[in-house]
Amino acid sequence: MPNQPCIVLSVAASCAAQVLAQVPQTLVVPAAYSTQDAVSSLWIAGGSAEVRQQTLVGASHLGALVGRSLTALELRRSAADETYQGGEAHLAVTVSTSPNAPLACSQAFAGNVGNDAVQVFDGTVTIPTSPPAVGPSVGWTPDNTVRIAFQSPFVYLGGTLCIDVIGQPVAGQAAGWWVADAEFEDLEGTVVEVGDGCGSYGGPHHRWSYVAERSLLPGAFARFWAHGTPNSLGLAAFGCASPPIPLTALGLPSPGCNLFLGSLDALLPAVFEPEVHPLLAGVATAEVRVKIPNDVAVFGTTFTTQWLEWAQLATSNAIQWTVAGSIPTLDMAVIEGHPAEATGEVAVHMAHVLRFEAQ
Amino acid sequence: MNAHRIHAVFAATVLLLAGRGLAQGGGLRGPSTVTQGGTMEIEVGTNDPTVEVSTGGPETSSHSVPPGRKVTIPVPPVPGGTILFVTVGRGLRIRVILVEVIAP
Repeated sequence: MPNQPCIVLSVAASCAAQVLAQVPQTLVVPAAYSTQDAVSSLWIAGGSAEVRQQTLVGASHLGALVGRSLTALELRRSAADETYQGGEAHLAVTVSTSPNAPLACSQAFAGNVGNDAVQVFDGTVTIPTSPPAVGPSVGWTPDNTVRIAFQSPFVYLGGTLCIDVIGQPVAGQAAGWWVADAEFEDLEGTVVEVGDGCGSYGGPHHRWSYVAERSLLPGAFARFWAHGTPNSLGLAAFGCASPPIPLTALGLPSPGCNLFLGSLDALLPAVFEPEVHPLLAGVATAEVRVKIPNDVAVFGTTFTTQWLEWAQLATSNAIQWTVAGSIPTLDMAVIEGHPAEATGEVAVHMAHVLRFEAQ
Repeated sequence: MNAHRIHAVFAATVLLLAGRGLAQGGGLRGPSTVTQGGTMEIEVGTNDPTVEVSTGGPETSSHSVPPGRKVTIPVPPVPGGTILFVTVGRGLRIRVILVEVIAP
């Protein structure tokens, strides 16, 4: 039977191929942190609070998964000489192909979810008690890993992957301080105080307005906010810095208040909304967000922002701010917020280190 | 007694009842007491770019969060016994911890 060895070999090869096809493939994103601890950390939705955490993963990370079924997702603890106390979390995880690349993401959770959304998991996951792991290498061991085994697979066909996690702590099983590994690109814009404000907020220099330097990135949402009288109107004025112009010279009855803008390029209204947390009942915050284009043309762009609080006719400190001189290259984004809110805090320069399992 | 003072007293009571060595708000943690003239290290687990510190009154300072998510913040020049409100975020997703300033 001269053909018998060939048949045996053929059957063996066929079996091997089937076995290989069933062996899950894993992929760590970003790949540089397959075993090494990344520089940052980020909490886990539902570990200790109600959190919605949406992660966008750019196509540049996922080439090896095109055409494959994603069957699980894992998060690895961040390196620290500390035991992380475990617990349980209830997670609802939906995966889709986002219409937005990470640097074009929306603040609105719904705006990042694709038409092909699949709820891949709805249930309880274990957050293990994890002994100290000082790095720089941290293994994907059960003690170090939060694993979400998908109940329904998601076939990845390319594009930006949107992983939308809504997490709630399980009563009596909330985890302690348990932060997962995360990458963080060390980019930021710059801010310079131009002049002091007036009114009853902000201490002796009346500095009651702020700009988040790490939000001054191409592709990000720059964050400007101020504290003032609850429920009064705030106006955030954007323009070019100038020497002080007394408001009285403009006909406003506000002695001691100055305008530090020589031009007015934009005026954005926002109400000073009282904080809902009971410990902060006297605090009210007005906030505006400005989407910075993901374009080299904005590198080093400078404006000055100053707020006017309508109830007091008071001006804030003026802050000159400059956009960072490079675009984030992480090709990931995290939008994080409360499940009951439609929008979240966007970070285009940081994201969890993720391990996908696929078949 | 104005609103800010009422909040500070309420916060002090909460802090006293908590009676823990480390203030943790889930997503934010730091010491429960700090010394006048010193600094405090605050760890941020959320993706927020800044941490705010106030006494519950009209004066607030903002601090940028670096890649390692640990921020070293000078203790504001306030009397011993003052309660500091350390926060990240706002609205429903705000995280708060309370830190008491003690005399050296």
